[in-house]
Parts: sequence; structure tokens; C-alpha cells
Amino acid sequence: MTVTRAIPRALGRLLRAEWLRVAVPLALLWEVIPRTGLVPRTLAPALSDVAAAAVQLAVHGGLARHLASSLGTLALGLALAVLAAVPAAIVSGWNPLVRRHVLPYVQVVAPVPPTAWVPLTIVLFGVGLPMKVFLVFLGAFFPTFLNTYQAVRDTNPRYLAAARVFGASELSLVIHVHFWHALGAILMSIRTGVTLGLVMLTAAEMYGGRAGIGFLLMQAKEFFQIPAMVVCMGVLGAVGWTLVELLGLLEARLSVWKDLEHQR
Amino acid sequence: MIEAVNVTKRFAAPGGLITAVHAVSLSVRAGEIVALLGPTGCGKTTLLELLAGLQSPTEGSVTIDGVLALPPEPADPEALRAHRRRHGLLPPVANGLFRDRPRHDVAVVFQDHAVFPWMTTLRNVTFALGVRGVPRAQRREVAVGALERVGLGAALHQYPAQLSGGMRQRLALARALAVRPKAVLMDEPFASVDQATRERLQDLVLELWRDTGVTVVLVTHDVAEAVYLADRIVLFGAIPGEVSRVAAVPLARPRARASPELAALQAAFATAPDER
Repeated sequence: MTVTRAIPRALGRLLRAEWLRVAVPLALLWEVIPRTGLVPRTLAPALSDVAAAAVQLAVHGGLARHLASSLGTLALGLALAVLAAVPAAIVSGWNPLVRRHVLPYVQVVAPVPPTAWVPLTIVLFGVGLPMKVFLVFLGAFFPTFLNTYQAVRDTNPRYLAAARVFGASELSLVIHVHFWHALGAILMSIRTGVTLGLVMLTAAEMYGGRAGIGFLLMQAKEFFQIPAMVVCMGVLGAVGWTLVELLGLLEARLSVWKDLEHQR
Repeated sequence: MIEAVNVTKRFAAPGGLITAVHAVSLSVRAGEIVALLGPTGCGKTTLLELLAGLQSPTEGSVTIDGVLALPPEPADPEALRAHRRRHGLLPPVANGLFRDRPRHDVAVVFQDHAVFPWMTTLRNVTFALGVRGVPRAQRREVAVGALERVGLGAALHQYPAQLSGGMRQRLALARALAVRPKAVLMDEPFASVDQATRERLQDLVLELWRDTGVTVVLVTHDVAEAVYLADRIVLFGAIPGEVSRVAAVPLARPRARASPELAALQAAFATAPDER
């Protein structure tokens, strides 16, 4: 299953009958109710107003440029978070000594809501790419770390004993047993990380910088352009949906053996 | 081959210390089949893990070919904590941080087979061979040979989830024997398969044993299995953790499952714990 074939398939799922049965009436209501004046059209724009705003933003508002900036920031922050969280979590899950020296820090910092970091981060990094990347990193790091850690710790001790009897070193144990045992949970935790990373991206762009969908959103608010705000919300939703679908795909590819287990 | 001298294993439990194995001495000779027989919870699995060097004894010692299976843990709680701290990064049961090498020339077949579900049948065996130090060029050939020997030649690229329970046990057997260990220790290997499959697997174990001359230590709660397979039976008694007696099975091989001699022995061992 390649990505090029899977995206149309995912889009196709959206066009299935049960979806259309909900989406079509909803779109009609969205179009009709503001037009009847039941709610003021300035506050609740009709669907066609939103579509017009989308075209306007795409043609003159630099939507593509802002989207590219958001995606770049998100990708960088997520990549750093996964690259830091997964190995650290695997090593902490594997070894009690490492665990004793790593886990307390994570447990102290993790409960702080990541959005609460925004002011301090702006003071520390200023407004710009490093600040945004750091905030995305913070959002994604903790859920990824904690879930991966737990999954590695839960590795069936029989598997460890079996590998050790044959002669596996601790490194082999981590690579061939702990990692694979936890893989499903790792991918799941990255999904959670992506969701929170997106939240942090939006917050970061709203508070600092001059690029990104979040910036566009705040700008629309300044000029009271409600249709444009709705467009930005829709774009962010679409980004989240696409990333989660892509990860689901990766999960299906990497855990063939797991699906077989569920079929039994 | 495997020598247990006055081995005791105690665990800390919420209600105080539990003695899982109490003062057991046992000498497993090279090439024989020894069955550890007893009811659930009698300590036979713990004894197997002590013999395999997977657990440290609280008292006494286990040696495999004259080498200490695992250094004993200090009994004193304070000393035990210090011992655990010292071994924080590398517990005594570990083989080393980076270099694959077995500590003892034994293999274990676990109760729930413990084949890795994320590896294919073939990969399960080549992985074991790899960490055992078999050169890469030979692994595949040795693995295929071992799998064909147990009748899994057609399932090389299937995942364990695609195999039946009996086939997974065959895979566990193939994986254990592919590394050509001096002894293979089995923990209720056939407890979770049906009777017909169990009998076929028992016969397979006997064939493999005859072909390779491997020493077998087998944990079972099934008297018929113990009497059919073993040269000697280590019988756990009514008191958990204590061996009531060690007896030879005076029957020539091949043994017939339905023979009256076997039935008589079976009856003798089945009633043994009540004699105490």
C-alpha cells in the first residue's frame, strides 16, 4: 500500500454514503440558515462566504505560503520530539537505573500544560522559528515519551528471558524485543503527540511570528473577517486529519504481525 | 551437567517471605531426561528457572557444567538493595551491554512458548542463532534444517499468529534445539495443546533427544507425560517447594503408552504425595 494510492482511498472514505448523508444536509443548512437571516450573516457566514474567503486567501492572501510555514514548523518540532522522546523512553523503560535518573524530571515537567510554556518560551527564544519549534516539541514530547516508556516497561518478561537465554546482549534486547513489543504503542503515542503538537503550533503562531495558519487566524480576527477565520480552522483541521491518517497507514504497514493476531 | 546443591529460593511477598523452592539438591546427568513433576504452585517452574540461570538462588548453588548458573542474591534485605543498586545498569541475568554471548550452553522452552510474534518462523530461529554467535552465512541453512526437522519447512515465512498452538510449540522446540545446546529445559511445553497434539509433540521430543543426545529437564503436572518421557522423576510433595522423592523410571524405550507397566508407575506417582 503506497501513500499515493492511500490518500485517494482515505478521501474516498469521506465520500462514502454514510458521510454524505450527514455532510450534504449540514452543508445545505450552513448555506441556508445565514441567508434566511435567522442568525446574523456577519457572525455566522454562509458556506459560500467561507468558500469565497478561501479562494481570496489562496489567491491574494498567501495561504500556500503560510501553510508551508506551518507544515515546516510542525515537521521540525515533531521530528525533534520523536527523535528525542522515543530513544529516551525506550532506554528508561529498559533499565531501572536509567529510569531512576530520568523519570523524575519528566514527571515533574509533564503535568505543566504545554500552552503555559508560551510566555516563558517567547521571553527565552524571542519570536520566531526556534520558539515555535520548541513549543511544538514540548507538545509532542511528553505524550510520546510517557506512552512509549510504559509500553517498553510492559514487555512480557518471558520474551526477555527467552532472548537472554539464547545470548542476547542488552542492546539486542532493546532493538529486537523491547522496540518491537512496544511498536504499536509508540505509533499510537506519536499520534497523540501529533495532535498536541498541532495545538501548540496554533498557539505559537497566534502569539508570535508573522507566518503560519495561526498567524493568519489572528490577523483575520484583527480585521473581523469571520469567513477567513473559518477557513484557517478548516485548514488546521485538515492538516491534523491528514497526519493522523498517514500515521495510521504507517502503523498498518509496520505491524503486520499484530493484525494477524487480532484476526484469530 | 546441571548440579543443584541445597537450593532455596524465597520471594518477598505482601504477606512476608514465600519459600518457592526449599533445600533441593539435584544432579542432572548429561543426556538424560529428568521430569520435575508436581501440582500447580509447587515450585517446579521456579526450580527450572534456577537450573537455567534465570533466577538467583537465595541459598545454595546451581552449577551448569561446573560454572555457577547465577551468583546468589544476598538474603539480608539491606545487602540485597545494595546488590541491586550495584547491578542497576547490568543485572546479573544480563549477558552484557553490547556483545551477544550466552552465559550457559542451555536453551529454554517456555510454558507459553515465548516465540516472538513480530518475527517470522524463520527469523525467530535465525535471531536465536545470531545472538548465540553462529556466523551470518550459516544461520539460514541451520534454521531451515531445524524447522524442517520439526515439520515446519512449509511455514518458514509465516508469523506465529498464523500458526496453530501445536505448530508454535514446534517452533519453540526448533528454536531451542537449533542452537545445539547441551541441555534444553522445558516448562510445561505441551500444557496448552489438545491430547493428540501433545502425544505427537512428546514423541517428537523423544526423537530429537535420541538424535542429538541433548539433556532434557521437563516441568510437568501430567503424571502420564512424566512417566512416558523421563528417565528420572523429581516429585514435588504436599509441602510447596519441597521435593518428596527422586525416582528412576525403570522402563526400556521405546515405551508403549498403553502398557500395564506404565499404568502401574503412573498410579504409583499419582498417589505419591498422599503417602507423606
